Amino acid sequence: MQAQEIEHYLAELGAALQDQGINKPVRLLLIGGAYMMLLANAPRTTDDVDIFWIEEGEDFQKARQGLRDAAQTIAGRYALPPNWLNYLTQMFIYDKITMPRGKLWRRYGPLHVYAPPKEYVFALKILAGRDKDIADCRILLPQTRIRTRKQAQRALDRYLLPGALQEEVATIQSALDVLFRSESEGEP
Amino acid sequence: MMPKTIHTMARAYQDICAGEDPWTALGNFANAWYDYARDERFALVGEPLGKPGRDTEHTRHWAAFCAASVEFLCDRYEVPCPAWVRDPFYILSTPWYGDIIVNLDDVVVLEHRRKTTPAPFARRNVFCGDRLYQNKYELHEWLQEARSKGLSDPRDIWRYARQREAFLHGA
Repeated sequence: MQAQEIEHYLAELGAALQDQGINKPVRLLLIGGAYMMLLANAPRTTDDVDIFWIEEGEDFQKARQGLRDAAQTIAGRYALPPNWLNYLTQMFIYDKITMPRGKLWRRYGPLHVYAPPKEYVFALKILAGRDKDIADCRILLPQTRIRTRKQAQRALDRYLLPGALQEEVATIQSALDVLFRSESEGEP
Repeated sequence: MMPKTIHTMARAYQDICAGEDPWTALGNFANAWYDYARDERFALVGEPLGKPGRDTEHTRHWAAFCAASVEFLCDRYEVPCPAWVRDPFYILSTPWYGDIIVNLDDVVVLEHRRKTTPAPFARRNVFCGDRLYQNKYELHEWLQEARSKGLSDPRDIWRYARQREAFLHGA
């Protein structure tokens, strides 16, 4: 998917929700590759749109089913992978992260898409710790106020839960070593 | 439902050679491997990579990475490994630590990479660390698997899934 296509599919999703009679806002937080393309200007494409659900509750449960149905309709219409609107990431890191409210980025009928701060996405990428995530950190860093390892650590302290900071210390330190040099070498 | 384009490893390599971001191309392949084409895994890796139009350090690095990935994934997921990955062309003459390492003097970083890189990559002089193919699809399956085994405490379920993940992809 290209950036324009993602916006088009999200717009259709919003329209499909409206067709189902959903009027209350359904709030999603955009993360992952789609965030990198649309909000960090990363030159890439993606196969799915990673999202976090911002809220819970009865209305939300109803909206979630509606959103699933609408996403499947759009997948069929455009021959997209069935999981093109992907919330799996949230399922396995929900106990490691805080949930920022983010800023409203786009409104497609009842579908409200929020964008988290870049520092938050940086923290998610450090937690994932794969080379491709560190490459994304290199794109994000100049767009944040983070310039030193200490500042990076402060962002992690803010957005990751204490248990995750402890459990994932090796991943975090290794990622910071690559981005800011290892601690034994000091700050750049 | 299948998408319009099936992202084989050969296709991923061709895309890399054509200028696509390697992680995007490999991410597309990984989506096929773990999700929509998981029942046709051999077909995703059986076709040789092909030679690039222009042979450069970049295309050689990523050819070695793709060949190592195929050997690694076939071994992990019990898929017959195609013979083309054993071509010596895919062994780099000098160690490569991945495009993200900019400071090749940082011994701590390089040592960590050497220690954590799986054998199929190290044999090809590609030192890229672990977690390369860690993905959300499998973790979701393992969470369900844990529940089907009767685990009900969320902490136990997560522990089970993460142990499976660490076994396959590294901690």
